[in-house]
Amino acid sequence: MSMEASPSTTTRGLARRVYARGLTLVEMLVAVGVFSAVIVISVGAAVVANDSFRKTQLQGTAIANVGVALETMARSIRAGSEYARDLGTPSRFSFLSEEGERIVYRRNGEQVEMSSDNGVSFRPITAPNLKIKNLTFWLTAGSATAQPRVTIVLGGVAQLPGKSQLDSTFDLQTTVSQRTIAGLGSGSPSWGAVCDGSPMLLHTYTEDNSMNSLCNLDVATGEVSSCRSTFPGAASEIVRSGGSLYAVRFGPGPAQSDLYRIDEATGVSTNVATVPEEYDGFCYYYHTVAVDPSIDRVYCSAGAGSEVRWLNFATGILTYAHGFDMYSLQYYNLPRFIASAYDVSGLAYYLGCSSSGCNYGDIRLQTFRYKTTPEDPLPRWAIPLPLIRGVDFDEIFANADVSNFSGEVSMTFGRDGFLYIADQAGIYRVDVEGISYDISDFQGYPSDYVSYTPHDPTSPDGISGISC
Amino acid sequence: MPENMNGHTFHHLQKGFTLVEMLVAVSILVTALLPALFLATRGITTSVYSKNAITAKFLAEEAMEFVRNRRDSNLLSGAEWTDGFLPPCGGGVNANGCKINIFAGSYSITTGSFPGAIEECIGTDCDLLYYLSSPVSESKYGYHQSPPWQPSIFRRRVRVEQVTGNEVAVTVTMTWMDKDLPKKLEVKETLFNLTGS
Repeated sequence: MSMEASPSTTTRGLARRVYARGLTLVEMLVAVGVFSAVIVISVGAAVVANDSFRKTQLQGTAIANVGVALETMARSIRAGSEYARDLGTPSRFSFLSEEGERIVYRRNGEQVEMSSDNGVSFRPITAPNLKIKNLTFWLTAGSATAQPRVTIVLGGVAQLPGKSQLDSTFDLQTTVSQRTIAGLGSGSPSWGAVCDGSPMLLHTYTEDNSMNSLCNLDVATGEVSSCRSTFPGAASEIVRSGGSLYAVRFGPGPAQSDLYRIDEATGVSTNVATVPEEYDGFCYYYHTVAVDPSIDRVYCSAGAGSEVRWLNFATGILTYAHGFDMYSLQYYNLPRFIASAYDVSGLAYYLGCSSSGCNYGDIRLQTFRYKTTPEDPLPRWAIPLPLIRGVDFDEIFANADVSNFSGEVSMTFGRDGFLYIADQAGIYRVDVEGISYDISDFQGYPSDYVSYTPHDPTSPDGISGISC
Repeated sequence: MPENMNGHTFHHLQKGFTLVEMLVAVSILVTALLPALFLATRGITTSVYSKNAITAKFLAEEAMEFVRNRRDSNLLSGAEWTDGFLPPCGGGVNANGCKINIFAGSYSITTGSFPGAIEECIGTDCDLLYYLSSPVSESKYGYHQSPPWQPSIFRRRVRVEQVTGNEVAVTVTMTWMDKDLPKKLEVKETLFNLTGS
């Protein structure tokens, strides 16, 4: 094929060239064309093969990684209990593991992260090349007649840096049903009594706040008896901590809150601490105080209702405990909480007020269940419970009928496992395990209890607290 | 360079490849490349199948868990332990099986959940699962068949057969099309009446 012509020498020394025959133009065009075609195909094939290989590898790795992540979540969640999803952040979910640890899964940016120390520290469980666009937990809370379940939706894109054409999307969904069935066999129920055998106690007040009294309440008959004076002035709910009863008295100064320990037998109260002025607004008039039995602390809701603080019984010092998820509160139009109670598992039930206020007759209530501990004071784990009394928030825009509690409200768990809510019109027993969360007026409660008989401690005007 | 006896040197005319030879050579080359291309394509196909298979596996487990959840709820409420899933998923009543509609009903902000439903499959093919992709935070598989929901490639059928009074066999069958090739995945599990004697 060479077209090169080499000079040669004749006997006479004359140079003569012998020319090889070259390709014709047509041959050349064909050759170049075929060559180009082959090169293009070959290089194209190599590129495609390379991309395909990388995409295959990427997809394989990605789907395996996502699959393992979802499987890990599903397996651990189904073996756990106390499912809780953050209302404001449905991409965050927590539960109690078999080992008793509070496990948290969440989407942080574009990664799925896991915490096994109640949300203190997180570690990613998906690879960096996976861009998680969606992680949603659709929780169906359990009840006495329904086993909890959660549907997990996980979606995203597997990416190679700088190779957007190789993006591979994935959309996975699965559902997990809790394996432990509370109340069956040897399993213990999720909820139980806080009270330890002592009688139910009412803390009552007179109309002019001249005296508070401690009375016994027989929850079987509704009989109120043995009222004994405690202290004058407006008071918070009474709470039991460390075997003693406490109440916060407000006033007489506008910025003064005194913590009293009440002798259960005699009703005599002793001032044990003064809540510093700087904390005024917390533990203030009709703002709730409740005991978390799991950690033996008192919480006071803030005046603005968005914060809860611990109250140290010895010093009266209030320490910031947690703020509420304002997204949830605004969503439910409940910017304030007015009463709370903890069950044996340490879960807190709060009653919220509407944005129009928490004045008498203007309380719109919904319960939430929060898990808070000193280690993780943020009330992230909200399980919205069905309506107890008040606005049906499913129909809030349909101007649903509003039934309000009457006056101040306080509540506690009885030793029978029911949640007792007291307002100025009566006491209500709520089955928080019941699917309907029915509330029924406490039968034996004297209807004339709110009649005015000022200054008579045996016939007070209202209830400032209920405990046991 | 060859020389003759006179010392003359000369050149042979070098014969080039003919077009036919070239075409043959190129054909061989292309033939050699084809398997590589085929393997690459096959790799992608396998990878896509793998993705769909894993998606199907989780959807199948979902249906299984929903049936189990219904059984556990029955145990808690004191209802007959097979209430709600035997029938419509079998029990000699419906040979077509049933579909699990996780997101059936309206979302309740008070319970934070969808009630979900077990519904009878009409016809031999259960409905296609649909997928809601937008907004991203709301994306999910379900049976809403109107936009913005889009049909997915998956069908899911649940069959429940009573083995004994206290035992049922649950079979979840996922079917889908992979590049026009029908694929199938089946998950089987046995559920017992935990309070039965």
